[in-house]
Amino acid sequence: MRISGIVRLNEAAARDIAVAGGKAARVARLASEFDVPAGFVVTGDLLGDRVLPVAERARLRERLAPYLLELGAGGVAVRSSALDEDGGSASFAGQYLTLLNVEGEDAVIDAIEAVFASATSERVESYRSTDGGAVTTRFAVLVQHCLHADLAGVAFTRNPASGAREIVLDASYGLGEGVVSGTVSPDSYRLTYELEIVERSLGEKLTMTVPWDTGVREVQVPRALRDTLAATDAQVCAIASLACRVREVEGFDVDIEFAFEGDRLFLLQSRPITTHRSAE
Amino acid sequence: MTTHGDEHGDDTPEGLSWRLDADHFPRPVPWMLSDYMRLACDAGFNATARTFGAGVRLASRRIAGYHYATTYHAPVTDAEAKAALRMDRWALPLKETWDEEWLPEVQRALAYWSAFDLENASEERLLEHLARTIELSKRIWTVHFLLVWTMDTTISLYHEAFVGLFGSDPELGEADLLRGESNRLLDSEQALWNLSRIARESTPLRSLLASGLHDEALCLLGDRTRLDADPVLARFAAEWGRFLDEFGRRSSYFDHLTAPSWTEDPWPVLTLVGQLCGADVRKKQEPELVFEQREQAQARLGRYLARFPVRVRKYFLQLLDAARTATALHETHNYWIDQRCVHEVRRVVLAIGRCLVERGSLERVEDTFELGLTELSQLLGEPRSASTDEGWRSTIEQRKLETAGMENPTPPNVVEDGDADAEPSGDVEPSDGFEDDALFGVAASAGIVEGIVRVVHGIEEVRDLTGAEVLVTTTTAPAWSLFFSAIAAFVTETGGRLSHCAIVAREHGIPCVVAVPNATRLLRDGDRVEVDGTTGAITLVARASG
Repeated sequence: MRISGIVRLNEAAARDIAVAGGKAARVARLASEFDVPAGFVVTGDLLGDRVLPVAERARLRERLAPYLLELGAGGVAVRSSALDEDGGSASFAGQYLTLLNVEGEDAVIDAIEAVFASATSERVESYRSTDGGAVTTRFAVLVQHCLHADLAGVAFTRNPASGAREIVLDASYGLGEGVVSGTVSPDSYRLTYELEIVERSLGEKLTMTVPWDTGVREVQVPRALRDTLAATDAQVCAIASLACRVREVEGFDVDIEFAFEGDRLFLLQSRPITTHRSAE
Repeated sequence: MTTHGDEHGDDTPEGLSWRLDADHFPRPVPWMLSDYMRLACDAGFNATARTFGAGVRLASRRIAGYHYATTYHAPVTDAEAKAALRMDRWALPLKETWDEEWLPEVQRALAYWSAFDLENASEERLLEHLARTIELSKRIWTVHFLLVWTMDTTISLYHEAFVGLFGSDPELGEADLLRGESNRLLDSEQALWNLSRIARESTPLRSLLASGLHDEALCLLGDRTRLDADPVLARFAAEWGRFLDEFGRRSSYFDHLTAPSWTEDPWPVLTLVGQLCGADVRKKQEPELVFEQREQAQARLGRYLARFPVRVRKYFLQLLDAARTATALHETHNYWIDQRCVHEVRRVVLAIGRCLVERGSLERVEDTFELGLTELSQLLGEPRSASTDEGWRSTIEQRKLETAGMENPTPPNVVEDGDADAEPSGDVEPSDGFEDDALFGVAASAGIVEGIVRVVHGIEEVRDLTGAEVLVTTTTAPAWSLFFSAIAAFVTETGGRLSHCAIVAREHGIPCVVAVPNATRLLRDGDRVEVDGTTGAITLVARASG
């Protein structure tokens, strides 16, 4: 792997899919209109060794330092942002590695290496494939401040099952990975576009993902908190309102990932709603 | 459910299995104790069960002089289930509920009893007072079980939440976080220790106690001339009076109704003071150290909690608070309800007994304890005749035989309804419960220590403590904890992690293992053992010689 550049999310280049990759470019575009966790994109190339040579590593440490300092105290989330990723079907589904609550420059570099490495093997395979799809060796990694999420989940501006014109929202405690990946049974809501809650459904919420010493850990939600709704109605309406505004800005129905940290509501990601959920 | 219709007058279903309550009453008990337990304690348990919509009931009875109990299933109606209060909702407000509802209610009852003039009451007034006492007892024991169920639920919820959030590594300090709360048992233990320090300074008192000359010691403490001349003795006498007044309204073990209280017969307290006198150093962990460990454990957890969802953090900290309260109340409620309130019932019964002896219905005041409380009302209230008096006396004599006649044999642990004769079986051959020179029980207080076994069946048997003793007893009575500052470890045949001695042993930092079957028969005085309170193992290092 070779590192070529570092681009902040609020810089124009970050919005360019050819530079930052699909995931990071989308997040960068959203960052200009919405509250998105601060971050930057590390661009590079998959050719060469899987691991950075020592000299390269030292150089990267120096380069990363000011960017990491800007993100403040606490860990970061390190995510793959492939450059040939399209909005719909995923060609390299298994390679999208996400590492959460990574703390310290060395750990961040290790994480960047790991994310690059996860992309490498499948792509090398694809070179040998006969399907002829255009594959680039350029790659990008999205690094953002990792929230201590109190509440997180997903919201759709259209019912993904029935297609009805309403907001469907899933929320649970802690970081949103469990809700997104489907390992947690979240609370579920349905709202009208006028932000009226028409249904509340209590989910099991057995576990939640929380920052641990390094990385994150899945722990059990205390029983009393499983038995009640994780979100207040006010929070639910705020999330629905956010989803509607994203739809307005994008011009199409969206599926967003959100997280509350204290009173602040963050937008983590947005995707167009397709007939089949995009796997990521 | 068919009415059982025996002299117990209860309506428990048939076909039950009754288990000997060896945890509390391994010896035979006078009739009234079983009667009181049934009337007040069982009733309190069952009222609480209905409040929480739990389909379980408690029943107890005296079989051949021993106290047996059982639980059985009771259907919960839809209405009851709907109306049922949720036990887990009581956990967080536990301290508030105790401070503002339950303790005041108990103290009001104690004030009522204390205000009643037993000495000068007429038979009629005593009869009314007895009826009121029975009603109050039922209510007090309902409070007792509301509290106990809530405490147990709270600690259970805390444990579940802790392990679910942080895991079960003992280094995390789950138990440490609960330590450092004061409770009435620790208070009494502290007071006793203080008494022993004063006694040490008094040569005449110390030597009387060392020789077991308790009557002489009591004479000395009542001798005005001696007290005026000896300031140390006077100081002891004053503290002694205060101790008995605050902590002496109880008997030594679990029977605070029919057994003499320390205020009536202070010999056990003199024994305890005498034995603690010989201890140079108190083993208890300094409160500062306990607190420090607790703060450290909390700081470690705090690092993780800080990054948890805010609602989880808040809830866990509230639950931790409640669990600390529950740990303290575990001992404190025993002082207020099991000891103080039952002591008041004893006072009423003794006053009635004196009345009955005076008019010639009974021969001895203690005979009242072979009657049930309802029977006592009958005897006191009904029109007297020589034949009714005779009838009661012969019932009493019969029951006394049962209470006294079964001293040696081992009663069966379980008696099935329908067993023709519930005769206690003969002496059971203690099975060799050793596995590779080790006995196993429930780990109740962490730590490993090596010491010398001292098997004891009564506090008067505990003497000449050197600090290396591993006390081995049958039950977990709170009274044993009064020695914890002077011994190395504690082992009992019954009990569980939440037993009185377990909590106090943890406060003292001494290893404790409970529920070791037949420990008092498998271990012998003088055996050298290693007690591991973390794993629950007791390993025989060397058998006593001879």
